Amino acid sequence: MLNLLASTRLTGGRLSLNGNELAQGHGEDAAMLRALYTAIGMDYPKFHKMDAYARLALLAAEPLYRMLRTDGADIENAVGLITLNGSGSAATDVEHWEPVRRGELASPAVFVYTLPNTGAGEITIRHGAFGPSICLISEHPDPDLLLTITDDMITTQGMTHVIVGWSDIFATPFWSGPPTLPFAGFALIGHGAGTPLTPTGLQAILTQH
Amino acid sequence: MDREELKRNLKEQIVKQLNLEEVKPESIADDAPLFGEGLGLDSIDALELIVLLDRHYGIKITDPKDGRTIFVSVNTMADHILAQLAAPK
Repeated sequence: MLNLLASTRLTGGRLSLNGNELAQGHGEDAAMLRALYTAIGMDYPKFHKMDAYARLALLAAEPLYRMLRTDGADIENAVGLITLNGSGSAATDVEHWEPVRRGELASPAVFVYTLPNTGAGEITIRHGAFGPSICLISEHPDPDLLLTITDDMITTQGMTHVIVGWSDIFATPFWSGPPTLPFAGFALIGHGAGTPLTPTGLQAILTQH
Repeated sequence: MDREELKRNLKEQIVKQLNLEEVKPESIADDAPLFGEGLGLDSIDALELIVLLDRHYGIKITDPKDGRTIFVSVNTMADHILAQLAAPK
């Protein structure tokens, strides 16, 4: 039986671990994400070169990888990662398109983030994790599918832990919902002490309320 | 264009365009290597520098290999810009 060992949520500029606030950031997305980066004591200059979506995913995942490191988990070989979101890299696609539309040279540094799997890639690079990772795009998280993939990573691929995370950021021309983004919710799953993992419980972590 | 002013502008533009949030423009030495042991820029940064020259100075680099001599340091970038601006159109 797999357990939910810990969870993080980043919503309304607040980053929390297991419901306890770790840090708070204010202002526009970039300023808010930068404030959270400083507040939780990250020291990773590459963070500033990432797009907002990758920064969001990196920040929400950070406390969980710190926990794993403290617990002596084999992050390099035995931690899987599943990232999800609803709008892919649309926010960065729009940013890339703006100079192109004006007939100017587009920024290569922006272009490299026009892929939705960059969040997962940056997390695994940051933490030196070589376990399996997957990026899924869907309108809403599918907890049954996520639990199936998680179970496969642990029982078939030998992972001790799997981190499952939803992160999404505004893509202004495409976003028709209420202005509640950016949001990230991440869950750490494994066999250690925690609460029993259920589809409903996982969905609650991955969904902005 | 005054060479010293150009170098100051270049340092500010490099920090801004390359999102070097933890680097102060005035801390970049004129002859410090931009790649490797210096600022530690990478291949994407090299492409960003090509865009920087085009956007701010209207100078196009058609062969990225030319960047190896142009983007050695702020000094070499300034040399290239001044030479290009002085060249007959």
